[in-house]
Amino acid sequence: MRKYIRAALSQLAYSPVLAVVLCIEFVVMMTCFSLCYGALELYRIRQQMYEQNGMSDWYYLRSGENEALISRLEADTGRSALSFEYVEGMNSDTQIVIYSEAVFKSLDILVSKGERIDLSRDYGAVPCLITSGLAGDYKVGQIYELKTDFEQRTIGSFYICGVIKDDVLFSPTYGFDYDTRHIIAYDPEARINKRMEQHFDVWNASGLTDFADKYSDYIERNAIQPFDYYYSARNELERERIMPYVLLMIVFTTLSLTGLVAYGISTGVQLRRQNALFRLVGAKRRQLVLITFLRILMIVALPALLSFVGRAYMRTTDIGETTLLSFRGQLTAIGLCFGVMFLSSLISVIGTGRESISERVREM
Amino acid sequence: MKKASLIFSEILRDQRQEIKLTAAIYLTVTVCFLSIFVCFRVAEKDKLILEDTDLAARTYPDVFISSGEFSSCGELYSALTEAEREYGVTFDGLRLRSADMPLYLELEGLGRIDDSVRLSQEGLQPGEMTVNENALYMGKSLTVGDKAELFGKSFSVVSVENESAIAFEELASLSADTGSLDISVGSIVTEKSLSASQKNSLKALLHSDELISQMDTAETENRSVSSDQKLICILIAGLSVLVILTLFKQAMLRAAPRLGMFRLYGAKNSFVEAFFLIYLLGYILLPFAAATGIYALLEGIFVRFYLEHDTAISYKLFALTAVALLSLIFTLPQLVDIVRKQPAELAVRR
Repeated sequence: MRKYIRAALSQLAYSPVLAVVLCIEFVVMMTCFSLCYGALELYRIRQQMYEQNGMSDWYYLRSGENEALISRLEADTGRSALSFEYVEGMNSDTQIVIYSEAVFKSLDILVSKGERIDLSRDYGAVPCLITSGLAGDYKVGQIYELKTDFEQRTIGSFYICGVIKDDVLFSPTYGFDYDTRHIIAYDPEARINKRMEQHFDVWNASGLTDFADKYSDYIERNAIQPFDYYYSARNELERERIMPYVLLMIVFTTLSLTGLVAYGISTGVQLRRQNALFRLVGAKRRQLVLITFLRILMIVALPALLSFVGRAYMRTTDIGETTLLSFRGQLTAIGLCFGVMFLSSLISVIGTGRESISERVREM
Repeated sequence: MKKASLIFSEILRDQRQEIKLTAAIYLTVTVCFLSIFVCFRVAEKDKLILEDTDLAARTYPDVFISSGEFSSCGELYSALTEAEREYGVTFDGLRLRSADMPLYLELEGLGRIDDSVRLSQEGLQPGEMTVNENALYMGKSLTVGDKAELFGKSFSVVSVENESAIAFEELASLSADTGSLDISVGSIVTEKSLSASQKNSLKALLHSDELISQMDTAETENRSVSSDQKLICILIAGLSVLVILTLFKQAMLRAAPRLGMFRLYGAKNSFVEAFFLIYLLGYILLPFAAATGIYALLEGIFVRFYLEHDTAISYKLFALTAVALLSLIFTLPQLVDIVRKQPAELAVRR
């Protein structure tokens, strides 16, 4: 193996400057892919949640007299309102939202780890789902007593059922939010020690065909506000935020590809000559492929490693708090870099036939 | 002229012989320039673009007046009217709020919040007031014709609207504790641009912490966008310079025998220098022109990507200058080395 690594390193030394340029371009491209894929993934998940949960039939209840309105709606339809209650979390970055039973029945919450909350089960504590920012501190299947950081006031005992997939949460402001430090709890027995609570209610009118007509007077004065009221406007804002990232991704991919072309042309002649020499001294094609594979691995592995470090750093910045940094996107970029480089080198190796060997030797 | 045409014809011949390498350099440098322009444009998205710069220079948003510094509401009123008189100030969204305010709002989930009262400069007569449709006074909502007492003064409700308001002049006769008053101004607009000393005097008159115009805010914001743009430009320009240098070095090596021939035929050093400088500048200027052309053609696509603000030509020229200067600085030592070589060293053997 050592001789193959040495041969791969000698090939890299043909144009070290361009190899470094290529590495830098790959790092930027991989980071852009991670950012852009994440933003697009969030957009797709939001759309999927909207469609799967039939949210075109959802209404926010914005009236100052919600209780009377809810009583009327419940009496008319025999359903319950979806109640979302915000209570003080451990600190200003961490929010705790208590969902009512109706929410869990109406809203399809996807989990990436653990399981959804079983509404009929007694967990011995308040069952909850957490987002990825808290998953490092709290393990699934464990009970934790949560306290406020400032006063050490006990909020309650929580059983961690699972981790919410991609940190996408239903928002009180027309759509879905991305939040990495969020707890969704189910607390029918009011075991949570609440403070500074706020809440909003939503009505799921799916299947109620005459709902919009029957409550048109409420809808007209926004006491009952359709989920779609600002949803499309919010989507437009989201698109406006994402699209520049998409353009940057395209630009840096093009930049990397042209860097690759420049590198290929700069080192192509010497590589072909060296491959011809290797063939002349008895090397088989598969050995040349192995050397090529190692060379490309070296040139892609370092940027991949750096981009992982970059992604870990970005997760701690403002971008990381508002946008999903996709691991899948990063892997796609790494695969793309490796694939394109390997394919172009493979074509070069396959082209090292007997006739071309004599041609290269004559050149030298 | 003869010399120039000879140089151009030699460069063209040389590039035709190394067509792949030449194409790779042109393509890569064009894409580098295009990437710089696109990054500029993306950064431009966060830039504050003011339609009326004169108005922005005279507009001071979110002004906070330390009402506690005034001994009475009468003194506060005098200061505000003096600001109007001396500096031609117009107050937009002048509001008064106090913990002692008998008007309040009940907001679900947030509880009781003191209602703010706008000090209206037109439409309302002394003794008249409008009330917020959601406001409560002594626990009851008010209707037209009702009376309400605010800070020792009685007002008659003339309409129910989306905000509570009293006439601006009424401020002088209110007997409120100025320490508990919260006076906020949406923005103040002066008649003319203020000098630094005038600004300080106005600040002292209003007992305001700071007066920052919209123009100053925009300039501060845009300065950080501009430094981001320069950083991106230097990063990508650095990459493109590295590509140019590496590929250009190869081009120089391949052109060396031809130079040796020139020298054999008696060409001077200045000819060789001119040959390489034109060669290098061609690799920078042509891709720059191509990138600028492609960038202009992509205008419609940029709009579809929500990037509506174009980049100033000065930034593009900055990118060109950066690439050209860096390329020249790093190529000159090699060029001098080649110029000093003898024809035999330049691989002319036959």
